[in-house]
Amino acid sequence: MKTTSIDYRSIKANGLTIFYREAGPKDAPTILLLHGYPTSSHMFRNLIPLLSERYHVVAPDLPGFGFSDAPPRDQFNYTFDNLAKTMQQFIDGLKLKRFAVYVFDYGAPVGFRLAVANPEKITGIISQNGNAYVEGLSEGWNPIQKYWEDPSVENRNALKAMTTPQTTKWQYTHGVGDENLVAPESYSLDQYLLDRPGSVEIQLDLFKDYATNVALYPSFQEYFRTKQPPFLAVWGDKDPFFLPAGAEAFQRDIPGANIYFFDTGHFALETHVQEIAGEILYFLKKLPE
Amino acid sequence: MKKQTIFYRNEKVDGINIFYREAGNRSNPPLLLLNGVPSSSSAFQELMTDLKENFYLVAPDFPGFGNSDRPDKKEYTYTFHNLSLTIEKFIDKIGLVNPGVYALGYGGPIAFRIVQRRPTLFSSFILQNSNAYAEGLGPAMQAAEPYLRERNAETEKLVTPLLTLEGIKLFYLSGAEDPSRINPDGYINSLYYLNRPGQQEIQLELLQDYASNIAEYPQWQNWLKKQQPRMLLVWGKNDVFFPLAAAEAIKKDVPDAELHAYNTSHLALEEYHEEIAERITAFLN
Repeated sequence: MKTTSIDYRSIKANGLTIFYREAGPKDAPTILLLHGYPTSSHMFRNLIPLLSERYHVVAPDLPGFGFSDAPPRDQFNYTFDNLAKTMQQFIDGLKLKRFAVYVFDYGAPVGFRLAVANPEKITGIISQNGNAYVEGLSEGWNPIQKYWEDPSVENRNALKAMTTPQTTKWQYTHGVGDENLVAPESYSLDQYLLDRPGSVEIQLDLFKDYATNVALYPSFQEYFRTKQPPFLAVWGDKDPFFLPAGAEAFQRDIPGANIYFFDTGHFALETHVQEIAGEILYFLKKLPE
Repeated sequence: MKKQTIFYRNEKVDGINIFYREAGNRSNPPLLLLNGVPSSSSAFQELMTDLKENFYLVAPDFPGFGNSDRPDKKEYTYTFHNLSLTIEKFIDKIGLVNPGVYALGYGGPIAFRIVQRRPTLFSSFILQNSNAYAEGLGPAMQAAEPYLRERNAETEKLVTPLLTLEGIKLFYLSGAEDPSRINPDGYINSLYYLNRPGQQEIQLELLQDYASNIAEYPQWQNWLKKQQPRMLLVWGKNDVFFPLAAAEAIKKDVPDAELHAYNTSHLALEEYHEEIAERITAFLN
């Protein structure tokens, strides 16, 4: 069997079984890949083989996502603080001492919380449509912001529209020039998992709690300013949720940040995995061990 | 860095939308990839990534599978004969000329049926865990045998478990060398597609029609003996459906066939796609 194979493993963290993909030599520098909504480490399936010849790649599924445990919402508090707490126990459990972190969508507020709490562990940050600035939020957030301002049942239920098969597919195809580049198993697997009993309510809880991320943006920005982590942004510039302005803003706090845009949507890896992997490999090569 | 991209396309054949994956430069040697149950062309995603720089690859989903149309059984009769007609037309429609064929599971009977009509259509054969001999029917196929003989409420009970998560896992995990190397995306996505309305009935019809393949085995064997096609056999040797005996039986009739066995399940590509890709590259060049 080839050494570039991917292992599909799990480990206990925060009382849950956390599923993760692991590949590459364990003694090589580590890169942690943190996924977003509504997907899982599945979104990294094509990226992992491109990184794992030279790097130790670890890609967990967040609680409530993918193949990790998704306990009912009365048994687990679905907040970004709690997702980050789970990921802290995950990196501690795997004994990851130093790592670069790739953050996408929900992975950003989770990964930035980890970075603020463990600055000594972070060798560099790669943000792919992973936001930390108010100017990066598009009008796509309006229905969610409305729910933050008025957490009524009506405003909550209106957000169920974001969990339908049509919306899930749209998240993958919007902004993509050639829809023939998007693999159907991406949105079909996501939808299978969203359709599980209780899954939608879990996601509505996280939509609500996203407000805590916006409240933390200033402290993420302070971390960027004071620690100046090596930073790469690789950004689909037609993302309906996170605007290019959110990518450019990183440079304000980290003048040495490299910002690259790609002519694609939210799930930039579906169409530009080779180009993005090229930028990541170049970035990782320059990092200290 | 690999440069070729995989495209996800659609082509109408007799009014039925056929979804297919396409990769590689059209000027490279063509290879048609025919999948089996319980998945679809998604089974070839990693193999296509391995091969796309050197070959022109086309992997359709059969009607009723994956992302192709799945007309009601009143409008489309789900038999291997019909699937082979649809796929034959698909080959012509997208302009594949003398491709090699990689056939897995159900893909084998479809390829064998096509060559009965057009003996020289495929320039070479790569078979993976697919069968043409009575001695190649493994324990899971033998257990389904009463259902193949006659469909009724009792015999259905023998095969409906194959369409549940536990049954789907047999294809992926039963005989796998290291279960931690089997990507759950594969069987969960298969379950998603099999759980769609009407899908179970389509698969039950087709499985029962596997009896028509067994009836044609002697014809395919005569063809193999007479034609002596260029052949590569790559086999998950612990397959509970079509074990290594299926490959050995072919090799008896086609002595020049090249046989490589791997310590894994029916879906050998899950653990061994890189090794199999190397064999294919050497074989087709």
